[in-house]
Amino acid sequence: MKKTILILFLFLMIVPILSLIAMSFERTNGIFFRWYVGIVRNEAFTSSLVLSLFVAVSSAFISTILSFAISLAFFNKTQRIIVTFLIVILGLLPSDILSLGINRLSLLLGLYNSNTILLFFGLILYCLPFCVLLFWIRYYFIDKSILIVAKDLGLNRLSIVIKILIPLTSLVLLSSLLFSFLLSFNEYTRSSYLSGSDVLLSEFLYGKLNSGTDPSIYAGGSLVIFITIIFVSLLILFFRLQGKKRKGSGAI
Amino acid sequence: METKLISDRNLIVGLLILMVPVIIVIFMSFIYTDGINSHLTISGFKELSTPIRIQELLSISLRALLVSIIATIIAFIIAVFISSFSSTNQTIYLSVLTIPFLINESIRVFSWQHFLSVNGGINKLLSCITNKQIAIFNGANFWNVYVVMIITCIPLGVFIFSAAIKIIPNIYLTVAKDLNMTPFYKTTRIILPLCKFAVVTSLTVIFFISFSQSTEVNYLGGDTKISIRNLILSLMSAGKFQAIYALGSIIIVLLILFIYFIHLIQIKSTFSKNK
Repeated sequence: MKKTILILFLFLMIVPILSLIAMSFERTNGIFFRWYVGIVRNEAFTSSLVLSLFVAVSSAFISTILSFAISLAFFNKTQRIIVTFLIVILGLLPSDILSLGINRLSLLLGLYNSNTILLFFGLILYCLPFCVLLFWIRYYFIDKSILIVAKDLGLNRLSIVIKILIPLTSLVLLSSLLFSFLLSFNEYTRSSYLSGSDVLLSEFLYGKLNSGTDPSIYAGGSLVIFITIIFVSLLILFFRLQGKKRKGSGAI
Repeated sequence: METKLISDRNLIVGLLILMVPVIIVIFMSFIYTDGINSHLTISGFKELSTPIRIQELLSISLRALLVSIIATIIAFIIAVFISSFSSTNQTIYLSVLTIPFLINESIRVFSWQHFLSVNGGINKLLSCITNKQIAIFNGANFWNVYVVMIITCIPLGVFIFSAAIKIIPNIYLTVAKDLNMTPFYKTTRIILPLCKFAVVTSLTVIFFISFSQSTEVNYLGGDTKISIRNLILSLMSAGKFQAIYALGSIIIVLLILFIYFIHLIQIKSTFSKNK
């Protein structure tokens, strides 16, 4: 019974998204992939896709490194409370308001044309709370006595981080990369406020889906869904590996 | 164990850099500037206290409150269901839940708009089941906004509750099993009281997330287009940027109060445990 309700619920969550994929494969004039051919030939779509991939990959790397550094605050109570403030405020403040704050900052700094820098900053601020939480969930399960022993053996902070924490969190680092990639790749609000004259894929899709003029946009949307599903599958794999690793190494 | 793996100085400098836009939002809500002159003012807050703005904010807040309550209840039930499966299945179910959460919001909302339209999937499904022509949902029905907002927020609640259920000490569940408690009793008498922290967190997080959701309203709201983005855009077109920053400041204060409240609950629960 429980399983049936759960599967029905998950099906309800997924089925509208799947229906969009089904619409993208509608056979027209005998051609099965007609809308896919159309969207791939659309220069505006391909250029926005390439730009979005570049922006998402870059911001994923930067936000993972930054969030790893900030997540180290987990091991000290006072630092943890301070970072919790950051997570809550950055994670829950409406993105429209935060984006306007970043725009104002750019005006104060005189960065009128450096839109890419602002966009990276906005996306990093968006990914940071989620990535820090991913690291904290992992740290919660780390046996703290390892760090005490390392300290007793005379390891300094940097050595503890490099020799102990990075190997223990290697899979979280990858998960964080994938997660922040997906968040940046699919983010619309920050992109629309901060990308300036550049058009990212989320903006392109928002405009096209809102006007609903060309059915090839279903194919464009489906491509984005495929990319997301591939990355989510990779995330599942990493979480599974992480679980196995944790079980295999006992308390660690 | 209390240890510092990052120095206070580095952490504070890093956080201050990251918080610059937030500091600017607070600062600009009290400053009027026309490019040449600037002075202290509270005109942004005054603008937000005009009847029309209060009505808009109330409408957005009430919607967010309703969404947060319903989504939290559903998320709790789903999380309890998920927790009863093996860890492999739990990972799979939770990961499937992340797909609608991580997908591009335009695509997600558009697909729901299509699904809830007059000739959409739900009406077709209901017509098939009842063998009658049914058109409960249509493209411009404001209830669609609630449905999609709730569906969007449920995964967040499920993640929060799943994490909370995972850290419940096994001894409680073992005792419940020994006492032959029914699943309903186990959920209401053991899991729910131990998850009160997660309930508060889920309610608050979903409230603020749904407070910010605008794409749902723009796509599905029909004639009613009251959303935070439309409010901000109308303030921008009227040149009242200060009111936007003032709204940001109010939200930041509310968030700080939320953290304080959570901290109090934590202290209280630690105190009662020690007692």
